[in-house]
Amino acid sequence: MNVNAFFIVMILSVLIFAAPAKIKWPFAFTLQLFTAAITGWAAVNILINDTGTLELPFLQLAGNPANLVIDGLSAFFILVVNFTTITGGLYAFGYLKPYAASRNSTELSLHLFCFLWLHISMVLACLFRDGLAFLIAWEMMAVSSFVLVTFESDKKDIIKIGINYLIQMHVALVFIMTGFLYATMKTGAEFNFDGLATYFSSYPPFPLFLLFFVGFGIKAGFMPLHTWLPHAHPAAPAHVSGVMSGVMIKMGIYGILRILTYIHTDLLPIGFFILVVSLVSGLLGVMYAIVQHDIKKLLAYHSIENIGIIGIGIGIGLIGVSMKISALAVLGFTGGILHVLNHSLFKSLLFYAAGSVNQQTHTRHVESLGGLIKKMPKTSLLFLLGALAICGLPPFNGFISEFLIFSGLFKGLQAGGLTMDLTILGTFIGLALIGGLAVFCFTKVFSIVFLGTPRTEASLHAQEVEVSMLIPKIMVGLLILLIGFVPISFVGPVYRVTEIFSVDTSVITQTFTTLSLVSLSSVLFIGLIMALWIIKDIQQKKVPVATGPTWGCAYTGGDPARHQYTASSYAENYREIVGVVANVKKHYPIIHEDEIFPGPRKFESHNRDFLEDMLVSRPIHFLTTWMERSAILQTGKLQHYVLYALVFLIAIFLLTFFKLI
Amino acid sequence: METSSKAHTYVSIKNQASISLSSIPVLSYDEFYNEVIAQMNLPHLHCVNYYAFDHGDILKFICCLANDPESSIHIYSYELSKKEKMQLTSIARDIYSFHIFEREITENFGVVFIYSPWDKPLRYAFNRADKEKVINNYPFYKIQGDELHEVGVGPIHAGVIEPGHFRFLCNGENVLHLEIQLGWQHRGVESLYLSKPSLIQRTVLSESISGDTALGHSAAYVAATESLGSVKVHQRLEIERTIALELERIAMHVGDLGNMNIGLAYQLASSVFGTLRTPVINYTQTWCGNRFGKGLNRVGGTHYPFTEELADKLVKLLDNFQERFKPMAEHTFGLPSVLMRLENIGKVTERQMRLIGAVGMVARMAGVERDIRKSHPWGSYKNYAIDTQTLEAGDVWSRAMLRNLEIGISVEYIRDMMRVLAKITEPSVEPLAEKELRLSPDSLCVSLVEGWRGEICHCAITNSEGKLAHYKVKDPSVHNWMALALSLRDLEISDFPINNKSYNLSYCGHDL
Repeated sequence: MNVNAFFIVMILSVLIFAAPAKIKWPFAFTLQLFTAAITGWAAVNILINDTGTLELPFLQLAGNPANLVIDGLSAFFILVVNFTTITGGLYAFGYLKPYAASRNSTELSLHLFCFLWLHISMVLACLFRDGLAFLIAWEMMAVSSFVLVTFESDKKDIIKIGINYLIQMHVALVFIMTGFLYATMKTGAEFNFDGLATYFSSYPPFPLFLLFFVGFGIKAGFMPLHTWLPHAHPAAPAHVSGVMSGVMIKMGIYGILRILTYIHTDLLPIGFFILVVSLVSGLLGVMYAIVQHDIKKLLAYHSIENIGIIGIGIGIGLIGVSMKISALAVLGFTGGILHVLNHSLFKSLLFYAAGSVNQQTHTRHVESLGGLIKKMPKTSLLFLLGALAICGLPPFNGFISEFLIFSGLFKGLQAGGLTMDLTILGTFIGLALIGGLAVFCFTKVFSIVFLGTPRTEASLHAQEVEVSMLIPKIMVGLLILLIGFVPISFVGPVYRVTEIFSVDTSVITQTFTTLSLVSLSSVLFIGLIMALWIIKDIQQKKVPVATGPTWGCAYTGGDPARHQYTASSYAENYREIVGVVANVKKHYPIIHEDEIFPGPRKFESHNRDFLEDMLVSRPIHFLTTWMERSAILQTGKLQHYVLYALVFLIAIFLLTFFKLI
Repeated sequence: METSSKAHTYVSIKNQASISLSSIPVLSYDEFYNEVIAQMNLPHLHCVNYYAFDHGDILKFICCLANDPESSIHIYSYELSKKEKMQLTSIARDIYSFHIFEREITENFGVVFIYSPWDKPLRYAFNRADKEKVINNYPFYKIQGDELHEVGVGPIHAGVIEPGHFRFLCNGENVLHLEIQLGWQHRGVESLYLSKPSLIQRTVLSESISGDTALGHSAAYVAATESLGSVKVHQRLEIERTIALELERIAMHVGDLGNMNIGLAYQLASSVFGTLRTPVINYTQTWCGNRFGKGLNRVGGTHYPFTEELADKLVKLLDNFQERFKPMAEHTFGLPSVLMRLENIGKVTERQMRLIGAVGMVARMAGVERDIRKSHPWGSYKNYAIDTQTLEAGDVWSRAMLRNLEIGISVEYIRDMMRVLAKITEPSVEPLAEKELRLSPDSLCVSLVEGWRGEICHCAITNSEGKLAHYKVKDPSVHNWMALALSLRDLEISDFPINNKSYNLSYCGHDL
C-alpha cells in the first residue's frame, strides 16, 4: 500500500471546493477511486494471497506512531467499504442532479467532500490501531456523515434528526474512549488496541467489553441502541443512506470484532450476551419494519434486523469457540462476517432503488405509490433482486450467509449439553422467524410499491431513472448473483478472517462441498425456470394475448387506485397477532351502533418504537418538563438572585453550626 | 271502517281496507313533519309506506304509519305545488328509517330534502328526475386516509346471483363499513301496473316482482284489488291462500337453511335441507302447475281449488317433511362446528333494527316483534291467530334459528287450517271476470301481507273513473338491506357470504 499516494489523495480532496461545477463530481469520484485502489489492492493481497499482516508507518500523534496496520479483518472491511462507497459515489452523480439548481456550489462541494472523507475515515478506522488515531478517524466518520445526513438542511426536521444523530454518535464515542482510558489506567499499557490485550489477559473482560459493546453497538444499531437509525436513514440522501446502512453501521461490527480478537477468556457469557441482543434486534427489527409506511424507514429497521443476523453469527461463533464446538465457531463467524458483505450489497441496492423511486415520485410514503413496475421496470427488477436477497432466499447472496449460520447450528447440535442444544434450537427458531417475517415485509413493500395501480399522481408520472443511477445498482446486483451462484470464491477469503477467531479447516472443506452442491442446485433451478419460460414462449407464440384492466365484476365506475390492498391492510392481520409488540396506534373513531349513517371520518395508524419511547423520548420529556419547572426561579429580578445567595449563605451557616457538613 | 282521529291530522284504516282520497286530511308540511316525528318516536309505530304521486299540478304525498297494538294504519297526506321550489326538511335526519322513502321521492320527483343524512339515489329508476345521476357516479361513503382499501364486488358475482354492487371499506380483512348499491335491474314495475291494461296482466306482473315471493306479492295485489272492488272473499279462499303463502315460507326458509350450510361448509345439512325444499315446491306445482305458485292467487276466486285429494297429499307431505327436517335441524343446531360459524357473527342490535325500520324476519331475529300476520291480520289470520316467534341475538345463528322455528310454526298452522277447511262446505269459486270488477273511484287501498321475508306493502290509488291512477310496491328488502350492511361492520370480510345468505334479501324486489 502506497502511504504517500494516500496522503496526496487526502490533500487533494480540499481542491473539491475550488473545482469548477462541471468537474466537481468527476474529481471527487476519481479521488474516491484512488482511495479504493490504494487500500483495496493491499486488502486483496491479504485476503486472496494470504500475505499476512502488514504494518506501515503513517504519522506521529502526540508522540506516538500512528501506523496503518492491515490484517485479514481490516482487509475484509476495507473491501466492503470500498465497494459500497464507490457504487454510492457513482449513484450520487444522478441523484444529486435535481439539487444542482437549488444548492450553491459550496453546499455541493461540502457534500462531495464529506462523502469522500466518510470513505477515507472508514478505511482509516479499519487501519489504525493507535487509540487516539482510531478515535480521530471514528470522529471524522461521525462528523462527515452528520454533514451528509443534513444535506437537505433547509428542512427543520432534518436538522433535528441530524443533531440527534450527532449526539448519539458522541455518546458512542464517549463509551469507546472510556473503554480505552479505563484499560490504560488499570494496566498502564499504551493507549491503543494492543494495550487492551494486556487488560483482557489480566482482568475479567466482560465489563470492559460491555463498555465497548455499547459504544460500537450504538453505531451498529443493536437494539435498544438503535434509536438514531430509523430517523437518520430516511433523512439522508439515498446514496448516503446506502453507504451508512450498507457499510457505516458495519464499522460498529468491525469494532466489536476487533475488541473480540483480544479477548480469550469468558467468551461464553460474552457469546450468550451477543446472541440474545442480536436475536432481540433481529426479531424486533423486522417486526417494526413490517408496520412502517416510509419505505426508507422500513429499510432502516431491516438494517437493525440484519445487524441482528450478523450478531447471531458472531454470538454462536463465540459460544462455539468457548465450548470447543468448531463447526459452530467456524460457520458462525464465517456466516456472520459474510453477512456483513451481503448486507452491504443488498441494503445499498435497496436504498439506491428506493432513492430512485423517491427521486421520481417525491414521496417515500408507500401508500402513495403503486404500479411502478410499469413505469420504472429496471429499478423495480433491481429492487426485487435486493428484496429476494435480503429475505435470504436462494440463489442469492443472503441465502448463503444465513445458510452457513443455519448449517453451523445444525452441526453444533448434540455437541454440547442440553443447555447448548436449547440455545441452538432457540437461535434456530429465531433466525427462521426473522427470515419468514422478512419475506412478509418485502412481499408487502414490493407489491404495494411496484405492483398494482398508481395510487396517486406522484406515482402516475414516474419514469425510469437515468443510466448513471442504474449502473451502480447493476454492479451491486451482479455481485449479489455472483455470491449466490459461486459462494466458494467468497467464503474462502472470509475464512481468512474467521481464522483470527477459530481455525478448523475440516469444517470449511466440508462446507465447500455443500456449497458446490448449493451452486449446482441453484444453476439447475434457474435452468429449469428458464426452460419453462422458453417453452411458454414457444407455446404462446401463435396465441394472441390481449391485455386489459383487471376484472372488476363488471363495475366500471370504480377507482382502481383505491380498489387494491394497502400496506396497512396487508400488515393488519400480522398487527393483530403481534399486538403490543408492534405498538401500532390507530387513530380512528369506530362507527357507533347508533350511527346508521356514519359521519366524516379519518383513518390513520402510527407505529411508535417502544424502546425509543422508553429510552429516549420519555427521559427527554421528563427532563425538559422539570427544567421548565425549575425556570420559575429565574425571575430576572436582581433582588431575587440576591435573596438566593442569602438563603444559600444562611443554609451553609446553619448546616455548619449543627455540624451537618 | 273509516275513523277520523284526533284533530283530523290523519285517518285510520285497517289493513287491506280502502278509503276515499278526499277523506284524508291534507296537512301543511310543517304539521306533517311535526306529527310524523312525534308518532314515529313511539315504539309501536312504524312507517309502512311514504311516497309521492303526480296529481295534476301538485305532488300529493301519502304516508302510512302502522299502529301495531291497534291494528290500524294511520294515513297522512300533504301536497306540494310543482311550481314552487320543492325543498323540504328531511325527516330521515331524525327518523332514520325514512331515508328509503325520501331518497325515492328525491329520485323520482327531484324534491330536495335538506339535512338528509344519506342523500343518495335509490334504484336509478328510468323515469327519475335527474338523469345526470348515473350508476357509475354513486356517491359512496368514504373514510379519509390512504391506509384503507376498498373492495368492490359486483354487479356480476362469482356465484350467479342477482346484480348488486357491494363496496367494502376495509382495514386488512376487517370491514369498517359496507355500502350496498342496487338499481341494476330496475324494470319499471310500478309504471307497468298503469300501462298494462288487463287484470290478468297486472296479476301476473305481481307474481313477477320477485320470483321467490310470487305468492306474497300476488296476495298483496289481489287483496288490494278485491278491497277496491268490494269483492267478497269466501273463507275457503282465504284459507287456501294462507296455505299457499305458508308453503312458500316453508320452502324458502328450508332452502335458505341449505344455502347457509353451504356457506358454513356443512355439506350434509346443505344437501338435506336443499333436498327438502324440492317436495314442498313440487307440491305447489301439483296444486297449481307452477312450483312458485304462479297462477294460484287470482282476484275473487281460484282456478285451482284445494281438493280433498290435494289435502291428503299435503298431510303426507308435511308428515314426511317433519320427519326428515326435525332431526336434521336438531343435529345441525347442536353441532359445535356449525354453531361456531353462526354465533356472534354479523350481530345487529334491536336498537339498530328499530332505527332502520327493519321488517319481517330481520326485525324478529333481533328482538323487534313485527309481524303483519299478528299485528294487522288479514284473511284467515284474522280468525285463526298464528304464533309468531321473536329471537334476541341478532346474529347469523338467530337468523338461521328463526327460520327453523318459523318452519315448525307454518307446518302446524297449515295443519290447523286444513282441519278448518275440512269443515267448510261452501264450494270453491272461479276468479272474477274483469268486466265484473268495478273499482271504487278516487280511493286508496293499503294492502299489507307478511311474505316469507317480511312485510310486503302494496298501495293502490284509483282515479275518478275507477281506474288505477297510481300503484306503489314496497318489498321488505328495501329496509332490510341496511341490516346486512350493519352486520358487516367490524367483521372479517370472509364472513360476508354467510351473512349474505343468512339474510337472503331480494335485489329485484328492491329495484322493482
